[in-house]
Parts: sequence; C-alpha cells; structure tokens
Amino acid sequence: MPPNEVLKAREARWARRLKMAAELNNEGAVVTFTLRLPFALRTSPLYRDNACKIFDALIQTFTLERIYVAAKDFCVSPDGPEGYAAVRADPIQVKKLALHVEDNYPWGLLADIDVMDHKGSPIGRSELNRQPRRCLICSREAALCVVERRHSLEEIRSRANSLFSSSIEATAIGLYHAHS
Amino acid sequence: MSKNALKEAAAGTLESSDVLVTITPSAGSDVDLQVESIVIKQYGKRIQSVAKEVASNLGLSGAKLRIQDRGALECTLRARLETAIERATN
Repeated sequence: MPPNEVLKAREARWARRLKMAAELNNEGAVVTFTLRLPFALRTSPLYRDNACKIFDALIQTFTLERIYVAAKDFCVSPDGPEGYAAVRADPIQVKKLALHVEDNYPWGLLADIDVMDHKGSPIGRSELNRQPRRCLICSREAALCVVERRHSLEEIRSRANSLFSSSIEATAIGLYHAHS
Repeated sequence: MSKNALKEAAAGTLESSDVLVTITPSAGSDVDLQVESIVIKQYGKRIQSVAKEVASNLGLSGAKLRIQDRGALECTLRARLETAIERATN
C-alpha cells in the first residue's frame, strides 16, 4: 500500500500539471513523465539516473520532431522520479508521439508519458481510439496485471534492468529517422 | 453516526494506476454512486462494493460519489475514498 505521503505526492503532481496547463495561454500541452514500474522499484535510488536519462531522451525526441519545449523540469518526489514539460504543439500530435515512444522503444516501454491540454483535460489512448497499453512482462492489458499484481517484483526488476541497459541515445536517434 | 456531505471535495488523480474520487452534497440521505473505470468489465462490481463499504463504515450520507478509476490498487481506492469523505464532511 503506497504510504500517505506518496498519495499526497501524486495529488501534488496532478495540481502542478493543472497549474502548468492554465499557464499555457490557451495552446500547447503539458507532458509528464514517470517510470512505469511498481512503487518499490519506481522509488529505488538505483533507477533515478536512468529515469533522468529517459526524460532527457524524451525531450530530445520532441526537439527532433520540431516540437518546441518551452519549459522543463525533472525532480524526485516520494512517488519517484517525475519529469514535466510545457510544449508548443497540438496535444493530439504530442500524445501520438508519446504513444509511439511508449510502444516501440526499449526506454519508452519503461515510461508513462501523460499529456494534458490547456484546459486541463488528459489526452488518453481511448481518446485516440488506441488499444489499452500492454503489460511490460506479458501481452495482457497492463492495467489488469497491475490490479491483479500478476507479476513478481523480481520478474519486473529483471525486465526493467534489461530495458535500462539498452542504449537510450541510439534509440532516440533511431526514432528521429523512423519518423522522418 | 451519519455524516452529511457538507461541501464538494475530491481526492486522487486521473493518472495511470490512480483513482479520482469526487463527492458532491445532495439532498436526502442517500449516497448516489457513479463508477467509471478502465477495467470496468472485470472490476466494476468490486469497485462499487468497496465504495459502498467505505461510505457505509464512515457514515457518509446525502452525497453523490463519483469514482473515475484508472486501474488503481484496491488499497489506493480505499485510501482515496476515506480522504475524499473526510474532506467533504469536515
């Protein structure tokens, strides 16, 4: 069970996203990044540097796709590493790129990339008629595996370690060429 | 002892693996429950059952209780329900 301070940290992150959305001047999107891992792994200091690298790769991806990043920040809360970016682009376009990253790149598989428009409305997979996200370990719907606690921490840690060891820089460049 | 919802209050977020619980005061003593979930087919009934249990245990009355679940663990749902009820009844 996540401690109370963790639940409060998530609410604080949500409030920060809404505040950033209100400051977008009626256009653009707010992007947040967190690690797609259980609480015990997500908050491990061992993964902090890797999380920062993934966020940097994400920002580089936006830039390579000519999406202007007006502001960005990376920090660590009781809920783990979190990245924030205010971008000047159509939120639907940003979410499509985020989904491409999440579904196709080793470092993307470990990322939860949420997109919110200037009205504070989240843009999710269902809004784009996309299938629910697949589990990191098996091919089932990820949300079901989380709620059922289907996979052990060891299984997930092992998979995460192998994904983290992939070259983040190389795949960011690969994404640019694939999208061009 | 029943506790009427005195003001609109919320707890949680719409992030993945979390749940947003919103309570709005309403006339009468009933609790009107509305559940939305990304796993509604598999867990809709369980979410309803937990919400009714927590609301009953804490004596919530006169409220609309809206749950927007994004695949939260049951313990997270319970914590968010308790916090929202606390915020709405004080």
